[in-house]
Amino acid sequence: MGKRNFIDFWIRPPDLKVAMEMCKRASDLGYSALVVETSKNMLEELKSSTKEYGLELYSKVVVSAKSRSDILKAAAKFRHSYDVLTVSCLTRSAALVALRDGRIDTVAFRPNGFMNFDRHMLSVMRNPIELALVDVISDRVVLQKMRGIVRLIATKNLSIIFSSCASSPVEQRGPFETSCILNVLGLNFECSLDALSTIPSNILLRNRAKLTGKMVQDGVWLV
Amino acid sequence: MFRAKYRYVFVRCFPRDVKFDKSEIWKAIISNLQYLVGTLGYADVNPYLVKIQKDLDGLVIRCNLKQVRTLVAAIALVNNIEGERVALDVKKVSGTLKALVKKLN
Repeated sequence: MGKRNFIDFWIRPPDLKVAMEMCKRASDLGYSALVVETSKNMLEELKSSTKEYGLELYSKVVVSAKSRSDILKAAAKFRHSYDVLTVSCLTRSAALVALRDGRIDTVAFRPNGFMNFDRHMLSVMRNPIELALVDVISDRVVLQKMRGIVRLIATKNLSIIFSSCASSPVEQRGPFETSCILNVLGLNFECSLDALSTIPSNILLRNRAKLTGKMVQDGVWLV
Repeated sequence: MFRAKYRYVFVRCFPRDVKFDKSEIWKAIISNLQYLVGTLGYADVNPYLVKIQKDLDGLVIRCNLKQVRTLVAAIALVNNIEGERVALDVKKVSGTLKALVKKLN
């Protein structure tokens, strides 16, 4: 098996200067790609100014959804303009829709929104769940809830993504440290590494191909 | 005869220009470790701050081989020391102190 390429699936820099510092730190920590929640213009500027670090940058939009219609509107609006579409759910009904919708890439569970995960949601789940490292670091109580989610997911061998959700370089951690946290929360170590490498990389590869027209439908590639 | 196997972990502060007393960093790590795994888990990890003559700009911590990931997780959870926001990065993990110091040079 080849060397893993680690991806930080969610950073949200407040401005270009901080974004550049975060790119430098990510490169030092050993990441090969970053998914940035920012405007298209800033991402282009960032791409041109961080070539020396050898990072691949992808765009991401995060939508907070209260109801089914919020999700459907967001999917129709953003699907064809961003590399990654994440839904942060505020209610259980929204979470159920987001977990099933094929146009959504990940469903974020955050403490300021809806953070309860049950067996029914587990049974309908099709999209990976995204958990944020910054929530664990900043609020210790979240550890308990996160452990419950990770354990449920580990029982069914479903997909999980662990991203930093950092807004400053101090909130970023290396891939080994991050996967150790997931491991301590109850996921086996190989799956923890997959949560930072294989699963996000598959999503990015698929979405880039769809955006550039190389993939017509799921599984149908133009060669 | 049973012989305990250890791992040596080298930890460094980020940002680099912030200087802390080693004991303050050690306290922050221990506090996080105890919160994460409790007293019994702490005993399993068996962390120990290694004092070495060589002047390194970080800490060397020894722990049980099988619990190194728990220690690394606790290190990653540290986000402030003496009220200042910092991150602790695990730079190297090695089986012997000699190899660790060699790798760092």
